[in-house]
Amino acid sequence: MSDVILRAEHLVQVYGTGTPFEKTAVNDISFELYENEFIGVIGHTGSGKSTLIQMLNGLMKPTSGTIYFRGEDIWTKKYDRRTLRANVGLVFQYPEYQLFEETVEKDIAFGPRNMGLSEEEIALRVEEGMKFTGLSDKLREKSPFELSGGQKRRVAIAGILAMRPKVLILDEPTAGLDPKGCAEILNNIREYQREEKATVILVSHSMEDIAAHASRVMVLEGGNLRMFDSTAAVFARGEELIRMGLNVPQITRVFLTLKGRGHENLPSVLSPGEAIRCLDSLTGGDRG
Amino acid sequence: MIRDITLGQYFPGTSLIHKMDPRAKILLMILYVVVLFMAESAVAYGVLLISTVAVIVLTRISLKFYLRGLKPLLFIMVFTGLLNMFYTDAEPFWQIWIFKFSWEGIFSALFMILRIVMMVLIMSVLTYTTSPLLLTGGLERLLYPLTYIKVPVHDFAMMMTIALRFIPTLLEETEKIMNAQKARGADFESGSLVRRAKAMIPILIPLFVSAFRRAEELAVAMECRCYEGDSKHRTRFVEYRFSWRDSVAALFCIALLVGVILLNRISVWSVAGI
Repeated sequence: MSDVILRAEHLVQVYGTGTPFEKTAVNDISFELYENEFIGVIGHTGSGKSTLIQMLNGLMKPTSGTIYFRGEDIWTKKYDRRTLRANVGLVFQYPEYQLFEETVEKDIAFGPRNMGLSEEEIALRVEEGMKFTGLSDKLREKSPFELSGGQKRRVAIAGILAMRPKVLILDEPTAGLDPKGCAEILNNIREYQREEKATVILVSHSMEDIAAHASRVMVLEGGNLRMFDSTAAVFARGEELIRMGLNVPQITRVFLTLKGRGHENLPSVLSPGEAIRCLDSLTGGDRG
Repeated sequence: MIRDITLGQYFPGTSLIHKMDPRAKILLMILYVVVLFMAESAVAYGVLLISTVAVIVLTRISLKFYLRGLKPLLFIMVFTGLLNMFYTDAEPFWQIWIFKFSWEGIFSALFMILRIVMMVLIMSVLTYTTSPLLLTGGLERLLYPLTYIKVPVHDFAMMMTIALRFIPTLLEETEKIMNAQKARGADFESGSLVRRAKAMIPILIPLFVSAFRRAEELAVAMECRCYEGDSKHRTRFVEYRFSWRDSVAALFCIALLVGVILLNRISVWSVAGI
């Protein structure tokens, strides 16, 4: 196994302490994330996903508990949290609303420039960011406000990728996009993860997307970490997920239902391709 | 952080005061403040203090929030208190340089502070127990006679309602944008004044863009529901009705008014009379 990059110990976040609106958003969560892995995070609205990811890059200080980035506590006094934010890139939900510059190029350069890089390095990073998000070179001089919704989203993601983060966190990066746009963006992210050997944390409501990309999955409910296991192991517990108001990929559900009807030797599958291979092996490849 | 700023605070509840008619609450609050300024004797102040505390208890909102509301006014209270203390023309029992300490001065300062405290408290009762929507609704109804001299009361009320409604939304939005820019390494806390002002650009531009977008969406949504301003066809979803609670509150306030006037006359402890 590769090295641990992020470690969380007993994270707790309480909002509005001492008011009638007091709420525990994250309740005693601990985990370890490794380099070069793709983590999926699922949970109902209000399960604490957004709070958790904002703690991971030091935007929000946990009420109690510790976060270690490469073994260092990020909330000690002399720790440089601005550098941390370049290392742990966070793409918020609807990131296109954060665009502000006159041109796409300048907007993507905002992060690298804040890191204090040289002009040549910044140009290189902008190029890289645009490449990873599949933005054509023609858009470089355009105003980000003239672009389509999907393109704006890409520019915003490129702005984070240009900082070349070792950990990339995305909060529902595909919300509100058409299916083709969704698939493209996810593939772009996957490509970045492979090339940079980065750790990606993907928050999503699409079980299909999680199943297709994640190697491990975190399940949050009411601020608690209910499951953290390999994708197959998590989706094998379909009934529990459904009870939490979540779901499993459709094909997984079909197989779970078949299992419930007496076909107990069926394995749990995550994608239609896997399902076909599994059925083929059962029938000896004979589809007649 | 920004979330801690509570503007137009309202604490939902079901107390007697919460259920009062907003028009009655606004009018009686004004009357109450008038009574506060009429009080001149220690006994009158005592009665008003008891009644103010009683009203606060009736709202069933923790005293902590009322005290928090007083905090920003601490300076003004101390300042007015001191002014009152030293500018009271009376026989001093102790004097340093130009500062004269007299019992009358001290009492007058205490009463002045008490008066401000009670005024703020009773206004807090109004804003804490009345949702912004009811507040502007009540105000609109009270000011309605002004439409006869062509004052667009309804439009003003609607603008106020929308503005109040969007304060928390815009605060939330600001926080989100700030976080998003911080995640891109923006630094709002260090550097010279010019640098810090420049650092606001990445927050202000997205904020304005989204405010305009929201305004446009809201306008379309209102037009889709056939909103056309103050028209004669428009009826009210919630009709305000005075109830027994409002009558009781009105009687209580009138009793206070009469009581304070009488107590001012009877009392030998009169302050202003000296």
